Amino acid sequence: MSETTPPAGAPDVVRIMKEIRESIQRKRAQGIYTDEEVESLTSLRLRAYGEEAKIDGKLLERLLGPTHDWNIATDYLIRTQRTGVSAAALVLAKKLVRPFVRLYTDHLLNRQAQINLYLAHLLHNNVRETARLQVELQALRHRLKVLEGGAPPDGGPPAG
Amino acid sequence: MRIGLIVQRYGEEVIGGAELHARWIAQRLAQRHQVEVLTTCAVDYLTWENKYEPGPTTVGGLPVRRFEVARRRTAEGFDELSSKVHFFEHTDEEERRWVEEHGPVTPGLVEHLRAQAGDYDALIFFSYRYWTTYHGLQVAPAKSILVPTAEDDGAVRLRVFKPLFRLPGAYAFNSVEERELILAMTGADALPGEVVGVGIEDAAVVGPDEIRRRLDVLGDYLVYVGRIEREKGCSRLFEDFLRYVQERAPHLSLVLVGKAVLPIPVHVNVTHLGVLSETEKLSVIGASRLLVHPSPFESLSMALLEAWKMRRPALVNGRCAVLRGQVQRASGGLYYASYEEFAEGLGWLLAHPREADAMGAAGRAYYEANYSWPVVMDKYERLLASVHGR
Repeated sequence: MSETTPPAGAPDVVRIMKEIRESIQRKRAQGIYTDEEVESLTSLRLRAYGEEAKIDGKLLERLLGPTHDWNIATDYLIRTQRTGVSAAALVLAKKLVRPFVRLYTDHLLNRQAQINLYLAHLLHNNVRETARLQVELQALRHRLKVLEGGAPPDGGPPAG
Repeated sequence: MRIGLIVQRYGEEVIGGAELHARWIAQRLAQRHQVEVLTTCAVDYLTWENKYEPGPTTVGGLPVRRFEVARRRTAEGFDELSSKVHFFEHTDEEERRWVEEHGPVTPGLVEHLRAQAGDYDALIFFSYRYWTTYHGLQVAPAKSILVPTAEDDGAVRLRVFKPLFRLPGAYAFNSVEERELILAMTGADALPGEVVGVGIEDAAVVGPDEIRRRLDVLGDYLVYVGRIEREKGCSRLFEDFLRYVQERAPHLSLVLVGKAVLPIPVHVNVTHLGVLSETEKLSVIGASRLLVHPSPFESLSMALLEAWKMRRPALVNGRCAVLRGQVQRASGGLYYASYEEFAEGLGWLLAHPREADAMGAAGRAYYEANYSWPVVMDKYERLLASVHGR
């Protein structure tokens, strides 16, 4: 047995959603965006790029978050999949070797972390700036259309 | 009929949609059949730490047989591997290891099934993704009914589950969308079984004024019911709601019901009531303007059914095909895919109380036609008859 349809006379949800979306589109067409909406647009784009690149969802959240805990650290966790005595011996050996490895890797990793941070900052700001410019362009296009008499100022359908 | 019901956790302290679903179905089936629940000793799904004593016991008058979990789940063993099999190229062996790390690894339960399978007329497995189902269902697939509780969240696409999805003698799907999802994963034209879901337990409900006074909830509010965690879309809900309050409705509140795994914003418009009794939960929903459901992944939302049972409309995450599909079929609310749609949808429901009430009433009619207990249990009887004697 499949799920039944709602009773006749129930609100037409799909129609209401269509009207809501059209109203949002009209506002967008007029370039009516608040600073927060531009910010949200930026975040949506960054998220979409991340999803397109198929990177780990948790990492993406951290990349878009306010902290920089995604960035590489010079220190690293020492662990092993083994168990028992061999695990303890392996962890000890790794701990003994770590200071010598870090002597060579710390400097490189620190520089790489700084570069990562700079590039992330640069790209985020770039995406935000592009979003803002596109919104401004949309608003200017709309004003131009109104001035040319192609559309009413409320963003509704053309006058005829 | 003698039925074995297998679920990863079982007990009155256990919090979880699929587990509650299993408990309610077990209790209802026990009214007509001899039901034994086969489960683990664990309460917490993040560690699978054994909390209950192994062996036979009773929960709510129902016989329950518990088996010890052989190994705990650890973040070190699971998180990295889970990230790899979900987001990166990986091997079949890594997927098999994911099933082991995900757990709960309970060899005693599978050994019991192997030894005693002939004693059961039917086996009902809950949640495809757990070790207990993955290994248990392979023992006697023809007489097994699977309640997959599958969400479109990545795990369902793992190759390791593809052969498993072809095994069950019958399926009890939670929704049309869940059936479509599993069909797409198997590549089959059809799968045995039907869309069943679960009913909502009846509980005495108190009036809006009484519940507001009792729980100290003031003014108009929207309600969220369920585990408060990032995976359920709650962090995004907090952002969207607080922005809405700031921009449009300074007096509107968000009332949260359920266990919090995520820090809840300290804000005058956000109230966390914690885990409530069925009476209080249904009453809080009944006194709300609407239920909000921000989860991107669901196989069936019991909270949505509870809202419709209480004749309240819902505003759901439209990116979740199950929630959007149910709201569209029921005409029981609106859906959103962005902040703008959230704000406009919420604004519309608040500004059109009569239409919002009509959506709540339509949701109730849909709930009664598809998910009321007599309808659900009739479907179970049909499924049991279809696997009986195999």
